[in-house]
Amino acid sequence: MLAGVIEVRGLTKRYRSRVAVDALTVTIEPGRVTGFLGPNGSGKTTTMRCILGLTRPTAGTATVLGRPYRELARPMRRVGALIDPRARHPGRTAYAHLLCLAQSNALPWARVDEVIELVGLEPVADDRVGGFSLGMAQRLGIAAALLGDPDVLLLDEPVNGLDPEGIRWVRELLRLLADEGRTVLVSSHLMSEMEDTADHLVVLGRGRLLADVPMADLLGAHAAVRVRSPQAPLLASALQRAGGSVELEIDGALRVEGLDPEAVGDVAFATGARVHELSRITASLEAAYLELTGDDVEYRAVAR
Amino acid sequence: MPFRSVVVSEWTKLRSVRSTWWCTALYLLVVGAGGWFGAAITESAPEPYLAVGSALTGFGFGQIVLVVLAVLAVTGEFRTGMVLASFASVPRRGRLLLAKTVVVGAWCVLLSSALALFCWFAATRLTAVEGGIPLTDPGVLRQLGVQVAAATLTGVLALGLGALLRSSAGALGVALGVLFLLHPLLAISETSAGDRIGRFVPALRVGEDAFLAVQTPWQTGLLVLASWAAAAWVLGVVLLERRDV
Repeated sequence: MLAGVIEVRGLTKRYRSRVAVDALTVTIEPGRVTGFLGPNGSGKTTTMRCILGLTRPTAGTATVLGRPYRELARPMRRVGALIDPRARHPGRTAYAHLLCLAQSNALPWARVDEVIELVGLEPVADDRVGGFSLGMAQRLGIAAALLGDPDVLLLDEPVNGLDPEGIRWVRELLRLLADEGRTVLVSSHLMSEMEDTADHLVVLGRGRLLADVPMADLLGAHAAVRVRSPQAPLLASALQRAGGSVELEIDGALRVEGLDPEAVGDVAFATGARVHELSRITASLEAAYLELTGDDVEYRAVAR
Repeated sequence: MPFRSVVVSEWTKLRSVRSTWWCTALYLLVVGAGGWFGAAITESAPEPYLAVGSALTGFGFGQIVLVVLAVLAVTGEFRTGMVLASFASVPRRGRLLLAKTVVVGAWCVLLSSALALFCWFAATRLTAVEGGIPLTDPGVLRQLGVQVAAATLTGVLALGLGALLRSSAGALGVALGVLFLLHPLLAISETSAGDRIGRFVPALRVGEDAFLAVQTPWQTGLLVLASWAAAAWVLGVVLLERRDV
């Protein structure tokens, strides 16, 4: 068995009339950052809470390192989790908060100082956490997740509330952790947050799995070629004969899917159509994501 | 996971919030002052244990503060969201509550023992008893021991209710309602049913006490209190294990 794998099998969680997670089956592999994406209310947090044994699934199973989370001895040494930046008592100091968590898993005291330094909270270590900003609370949560130096990390919306410097810091940290061979599952409802971070994407919509793909594939699947020619109608029909699907852009250029730039150039040459522009369009991840989740947004503003 | 680690962690949790220290100070103050006052207004007593009994009066209301401390030790976790981190670090929830109970129970024993000794000291200084009030007197020792046990069981009952109800207001309301209001209400009702029910209602003080609707021997009183505490605690663990957070 691979080290540090999360296995979710047929996971379903139903709350009265609402299905939060619907027969979700997915495996999270080690050594890469897996982005866990979906609109608000798509079941990301519920899934993570089921993995951590905080929420009992209606059906299905979730295991970490081959066992249900609740059966792990000293779980913080195996799995680090950031579930909610508010998962702390506001009256405790940052140091006391991390100390009581470290003690519960018999982790060395020195680890507390190490993680405080790692997340940059030294100046406020002895302040009560109730006065922390959301960004500081997130750093405290990340510090708690890292306490046990775990092989598996589950972070629910870790960059929420962080400033740009903090966001970059989290990205670099996640990259570093994955490169060390750890399993990193990080959720977000914003694709842009994943663009430079994740290697692999798991996309949820209304509790169902919409995609489980490498980042590169998702981008490739939505790539297209843009070509501009004074003889657009002639070129368009030639491209269609060659197997491409062609759309006319607003500025008169053609957007071609299904053919690579070399093929488009060859077709234009053979047709005798003059080419004024020929370029590859990498689909923005945001667009690919919207396309995937478009039908599955649970809460949508309605124009009145 | 060694149980000792969880106990150490729970002690850190208890000592690192202000409510613990406020409650501790108030408990010492109220029961200590009540004890001194109780002893002062009891000029003489026929038996040493009765003199000590008067001096222990402060426990009858001071334990409210102990109930608050114990309830907050549990509901504070749910109110703040800390429980997510606690359950993620110790997924066996019964074990977690047991460790919390050990810590809060030990704190109750420590504070209540110190207060009981103080009350005994107040009685020796202020209440005249023929032959004095030796600490080694079996009657005196029993009075003090029963009071410490009752205070600790009250704390455990409050913890159990906290785990059961999860809300500070709810758990405090039920705990104080049961421990503080039921007996006077039953006493006012002056019915035979009230008498029968009163035997099974726990109170902040056990044994012969003017506040109780029904006077029962201390053994019965302790047993009733222990049964309520055990029932609330076990039910609390069962619900903790079953419910989501």
